[in-house]
Amino acid sequence: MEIAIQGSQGSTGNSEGEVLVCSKPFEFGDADPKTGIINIPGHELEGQTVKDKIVIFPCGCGATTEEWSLYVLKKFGTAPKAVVTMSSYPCACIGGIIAGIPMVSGFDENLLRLVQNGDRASIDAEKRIVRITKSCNRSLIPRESRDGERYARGED
Amino acid sequence: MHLTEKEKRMLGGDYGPIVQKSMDLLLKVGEFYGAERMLKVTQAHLIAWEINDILFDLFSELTKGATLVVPTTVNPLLFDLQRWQELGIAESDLPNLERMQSRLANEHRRLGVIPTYTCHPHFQHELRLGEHIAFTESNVQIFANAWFGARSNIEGATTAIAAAVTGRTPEYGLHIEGNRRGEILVEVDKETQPESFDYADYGALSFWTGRLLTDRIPVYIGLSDEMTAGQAKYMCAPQVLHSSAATFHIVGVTPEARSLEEALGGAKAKGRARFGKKERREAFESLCSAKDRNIDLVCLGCPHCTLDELAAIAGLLKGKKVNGQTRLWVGTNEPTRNLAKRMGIIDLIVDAGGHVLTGMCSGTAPILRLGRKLGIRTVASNSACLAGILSRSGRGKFGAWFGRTRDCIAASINGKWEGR
Repeated sequence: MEIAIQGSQGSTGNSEGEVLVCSKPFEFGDADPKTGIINIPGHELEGQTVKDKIVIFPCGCGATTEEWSLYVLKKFGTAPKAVVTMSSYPCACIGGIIAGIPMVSGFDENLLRLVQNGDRASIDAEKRIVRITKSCNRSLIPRESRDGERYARGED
Repeated sequence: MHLTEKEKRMLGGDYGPIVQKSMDLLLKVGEFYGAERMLKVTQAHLIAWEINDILFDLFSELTKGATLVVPTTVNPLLFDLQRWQELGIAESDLPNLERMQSRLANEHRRLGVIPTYTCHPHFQHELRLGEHIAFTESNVQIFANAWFGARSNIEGATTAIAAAVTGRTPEYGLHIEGNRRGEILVEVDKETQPESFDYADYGALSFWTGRLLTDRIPVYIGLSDEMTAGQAKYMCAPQVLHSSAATFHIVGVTPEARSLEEALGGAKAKGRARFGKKERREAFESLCSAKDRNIDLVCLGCPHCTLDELAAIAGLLKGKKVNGQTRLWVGTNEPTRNLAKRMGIIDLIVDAGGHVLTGMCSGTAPILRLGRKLGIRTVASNSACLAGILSRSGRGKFGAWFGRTRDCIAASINGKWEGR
């Protein structure tokens, strides 16, 4: 099943990949630049990586150094493929622009209700369109598969 | 996006490659947000770039041969190297730190940046209601919006420089009247006794509120109408630790909130919250990440102390001595320290064993960078910003006790955390 959602703000570029969702305001400064993994205990995305993901969350947050977070991730090769937010936090958005990461923002409907980890998304930043492909048997394998990934990376 | 003839020439390269590059960046940001035009800005505020090579290279790329066209102030550097011995920096580390810091300071001098090196630079160029500016750094930018009613988005370091070079910023976000209205009403309950709030209470309120906002601007009611600028500056950075809301209104205090109706722009609040004793306790607790009650460092002045804060700290230290195992850092900017020195305030703090440091981030950045080397593990502070960031970025390495100013001073004297 594919859902297409129209945003009102966006940068340039196209991208396609696996979705990583955070339900709360998120900062890329929480990801370790060397791995892209979020190592903050108790963080909703603890143990997950932003590398090569389409990261979807309500809005950015944090100190203005957040601008550099995406840029530094890009330099380390651990940046997300694209960033999709309900509304855009200027200093984080600017970081995405200087890092050349496609971003789409400004949605009327609650995007976060439509998408979950493991879905795939393709984005066309210039047209401000996000297309989400639901992973079909998602409900059968949510938590375990993520834990499996962590084992595969040699964690825990 | 509609550009004026002059802006088109900037973009076309008539004003040189730096102006061209800057205008191109501002245009991309404007196009992202669907801005219709550029606005002229009257001031800019920069952040002193984290001193690593990746970011210094980016800074150089954006400023090589540049001329700034508006008065431009700048945030703190990493360390107060004129007081390196007071900070406890090893002499062997000094040349390297000086080299890193001076290459940035030299660039600022060449560019004509006003070397305020502070997160409270408003003594230099005062702002007026409705003035369009381009400020980065959450303390400075939020304070400028909330306290003066000046208009700035939370700029990046790159767009703040681009604005200083071109005198322009795209018209979007907080530059537009309709985007500045409050949406979440926060009632500060009388039971918290707002009239006797410490700086820490303001920080706790801001931190707690930030978690409710996502991207919506808060309107506070119930705070003392006698509150000072020095107190309001503790309500800035903590708000964006968990939100993207980059201004706030206090009814009866801030200029865009002469009444609740004005603060809400005539609309109904989209959400309401009450900040009582229980909520305050929760905020204080969630900002305390330390277990050990032995304090290595007491850190005050995040954001940088005003003159009255320095006087209050000196008053609390009168006749006391800072414990030999504990350091007391008090951060401010050089002009304020000079005034306080003339008033005899600095001598009182220094004679008691405290260090009044200038031009550096008061705690967060130096602790994260050099804290372990200086033997610092447990920090006490009245700053919700510092405590919040240490509990996140410094988790596992540093612990923070967050409490009121007098509890922090007591910890510097006793070496133990006994705050509540």
